[in-house]
Amino acid sequence: MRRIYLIIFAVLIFSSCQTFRDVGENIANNFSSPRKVKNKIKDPVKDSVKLSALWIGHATVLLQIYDKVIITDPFLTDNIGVLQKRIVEPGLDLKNLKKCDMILISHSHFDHLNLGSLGMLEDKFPRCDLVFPAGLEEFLPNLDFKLHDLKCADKDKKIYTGETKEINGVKITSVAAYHWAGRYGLDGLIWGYNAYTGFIIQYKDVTVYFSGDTSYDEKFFKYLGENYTIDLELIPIGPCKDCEKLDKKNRHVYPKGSLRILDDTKAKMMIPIHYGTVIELADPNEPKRVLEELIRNREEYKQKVKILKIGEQLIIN
Amino acid sequence: MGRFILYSFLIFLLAVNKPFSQPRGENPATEFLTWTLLQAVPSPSFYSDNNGNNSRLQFGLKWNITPLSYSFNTNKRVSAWSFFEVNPLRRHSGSVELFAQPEWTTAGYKYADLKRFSISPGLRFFAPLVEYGEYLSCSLGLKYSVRESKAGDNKDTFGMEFGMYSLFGIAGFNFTYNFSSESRYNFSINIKYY
Repeated sequence: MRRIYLIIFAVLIFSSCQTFRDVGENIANNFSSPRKVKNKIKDPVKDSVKLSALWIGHATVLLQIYDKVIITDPFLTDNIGVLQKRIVEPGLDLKNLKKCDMILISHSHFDHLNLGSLGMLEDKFPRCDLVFPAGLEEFLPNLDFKLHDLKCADKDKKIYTGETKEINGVKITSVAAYHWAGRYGLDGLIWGYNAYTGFIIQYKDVTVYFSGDTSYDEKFFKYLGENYTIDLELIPIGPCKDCEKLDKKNRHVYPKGSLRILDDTKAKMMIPIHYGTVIELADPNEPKRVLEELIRNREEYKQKVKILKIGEQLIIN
Repeated sequence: MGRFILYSFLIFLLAVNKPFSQPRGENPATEFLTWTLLQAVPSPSFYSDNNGNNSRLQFGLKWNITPLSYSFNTNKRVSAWSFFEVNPLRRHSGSVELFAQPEWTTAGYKYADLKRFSISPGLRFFAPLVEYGEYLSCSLGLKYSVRESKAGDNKDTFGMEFGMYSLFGIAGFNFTYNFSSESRYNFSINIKYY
């Protein structure tokens, strides 16, 4: 009898614990194939474009600013961190990508620093520039890319920009982010491996802000709005369980927080990212549903918030 | 000979007073403490216990210390050398390391004439199999086990080992073949963080 009570107790504990549920769902998900993306774009790099953004999934966006092609936090493989398998295939076939000038890595978590994806890109574009926050090199293997590290901002001292480097005409500035780093758990949570950043990308007359993973900080985002004229920003909106909240401090910003960032930074356009690709915390598409709900009757946001499907490309001329 | 290797190894351990090679994070003291505590987590092991007539499996515990590691697959920005604390990527993406392996059988050997405790210094080579070794890697090693009989006689032996690791090297298994009839095989579930 005691054994039965123990089993019931264990089932109750495990079924109510999100982490166990996530692990269970992810293990189960490994036995199914990622959903296909229909009508993938065959010519993602255009001959003449001012700015374009193709959402490949999660935090991976293919940006084209005039003749420069930049990819953010590439996640092109099936899995992250061994067990977590993507539920939708990447929105771009690498064979269709003819050019890549720069790869930006915001931090070393598995869903942002995906070594398999870097290997795939290295095979095709070995002389690409790889830009990352200083300290992240701890988690980089030997790659053919040209490595560029950027000093992180010191947000505790309210210094919101870290370092600016001009790489083949593209000006990249590291800016604050409110997250954590490391790769294998304790190294980020306790040991203080703190290489994480957001990026401001400036080329010719275009400015793009890629926030990496971040939570909300009013002063910082207002600082960005006062100091940069942002044409497009890529802002995470998940993963979240309580998606109606603003954010989870030093973790992730949620849909409501992303709209606050849009207000504070005064960006002309925002693409929500970091949802709909892997199972984490809740329904992967819950952040999108909440965001759509929030902007439903808000004309000021409808023009600015561009919710892309995986594989969809936004072109701004 | 065995004792000479063991003592040389211990002196080397004591001589290395800076146990980390990586640039420090914000909390070196906390890091040192937690890392040390994590190294105390043993790998459960099973040792063959036989005397020619009888045999059984004996449960034991095994620890792994890495005083020196050289990685073949580091980028140009970081040192290929690590002392004690080895970043899993550097270890499992391809490396060679010196190790010391204290081993302890919980209830002692019943048939083999061996004491409960032994220590095995050795050399181990890691090769990546999937995703730079983070998802799957394997190792081959050669070790010298310093052991004594219950009466205190020398029972040192050489051994070879093979391992497979997953989950960023945190979990895996390790199989050892000793060139001695006493406790010829052992198998362990490998647990190692950094």
